[in-house]
Amino acid sequence: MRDEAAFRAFVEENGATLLHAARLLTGDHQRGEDLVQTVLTKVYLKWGRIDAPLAYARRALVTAQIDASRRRWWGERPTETLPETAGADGLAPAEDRDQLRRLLAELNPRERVVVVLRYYCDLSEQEAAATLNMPVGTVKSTCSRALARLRVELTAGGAGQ
Amino acid sequence: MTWDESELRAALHEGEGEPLSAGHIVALAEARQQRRHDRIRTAAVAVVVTGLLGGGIGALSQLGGGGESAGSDSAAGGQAYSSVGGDQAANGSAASAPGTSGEKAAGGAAPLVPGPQAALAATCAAHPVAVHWPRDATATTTAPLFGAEVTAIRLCGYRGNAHGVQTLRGSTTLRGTQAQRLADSVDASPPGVRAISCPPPRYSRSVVLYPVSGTTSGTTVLLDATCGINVTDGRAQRLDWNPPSALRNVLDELTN
Repeated sequence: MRDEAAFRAFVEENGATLLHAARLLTGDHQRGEDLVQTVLTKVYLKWGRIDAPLAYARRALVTAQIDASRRRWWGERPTETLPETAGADGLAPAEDRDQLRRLLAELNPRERVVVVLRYYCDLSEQEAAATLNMPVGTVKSTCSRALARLRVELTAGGAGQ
Repeated sequence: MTWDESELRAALHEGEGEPLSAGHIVALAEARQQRRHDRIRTAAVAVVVTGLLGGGIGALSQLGGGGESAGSDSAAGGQAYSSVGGDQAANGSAASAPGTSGEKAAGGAAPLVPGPQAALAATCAAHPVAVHWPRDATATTTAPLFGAEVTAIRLCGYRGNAHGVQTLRGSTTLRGTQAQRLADSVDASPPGVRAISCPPPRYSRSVVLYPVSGTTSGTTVLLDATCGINVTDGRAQRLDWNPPSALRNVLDELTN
């Protein structure tokens, strides 16, 4: 029997974090919501059969995002300029935050996932490696490479401004 | 602009906190599960319907196949019949439906058919009718098997399989002199009691004869070729009948 109350409590506690992680992973407000809905639906249907729901949800989130990025997406075309997106408070995001988000979106999917797991979800390298089912060394190197790219791009962007 | 990891963390956390509706997720999940169940149910129904259709078609085709094999039996009977050159219409109808009314018509040693035309038109039974062999050498065993004047004899030929089960292989009707010759040659054979020490009847052959004398049907006669060719009508019997060569060919065709 599925414990709906426990699931609701889980969503109350972790839903916002998962939603924000999904938005960071997809780089898109709407697609982030779709992604987290899909993942939480899976969690609900398996509720009671999974030991660590949050870890399961994180893994499902990154797996779905990496799978989605491998698929060719015909529904949307890349544009030269990103559309303006409202922040959570309905106001325009701060410039630095906006720039960092843009740069994060330019990382390749695996780098982006590692950065989000390490610096947004605050997972250790071991936890991130377990979530991504990859060696710790790969997580380290991927993370290091991603941060270097962010620094370079941010520095170049800052210098250009 | 430079930044460290703590600033990266802070930047990534900015904008979070938008709550998610658990009720919405639950509703989505329930709907998804319902759709999945519907799909499974639909697939199961489709499998069952397909299975039933397949079974029905298979059964129908088997029926069709059975009809064909019955037809070939009939055809064999028809061929044997036509090769003898006797009657046409009666045998044609008889061969078209073996084992139906014929089983009733040929159901015992005594004639069950009302008249000679019916006897000749009777369909052969799928298996030979039971005619009991006399066990003692009484006076009746020497009595003639056929009437004085035989005008026609309907013959149903059977052959046994490896398990000794005999099934219909062909049928024909002899008329006139051919019928009389058969009757005479059988009755001319030595009377006696059939030996019990016969080998098991594997691949055995037998022919059931329905004689007609004038306007009356005679007693059904069984011609058994297990140990030689022995003939009986349940009362009298003849042993080691040696059929005329022309009749031997007919009997071979009927029981092959």
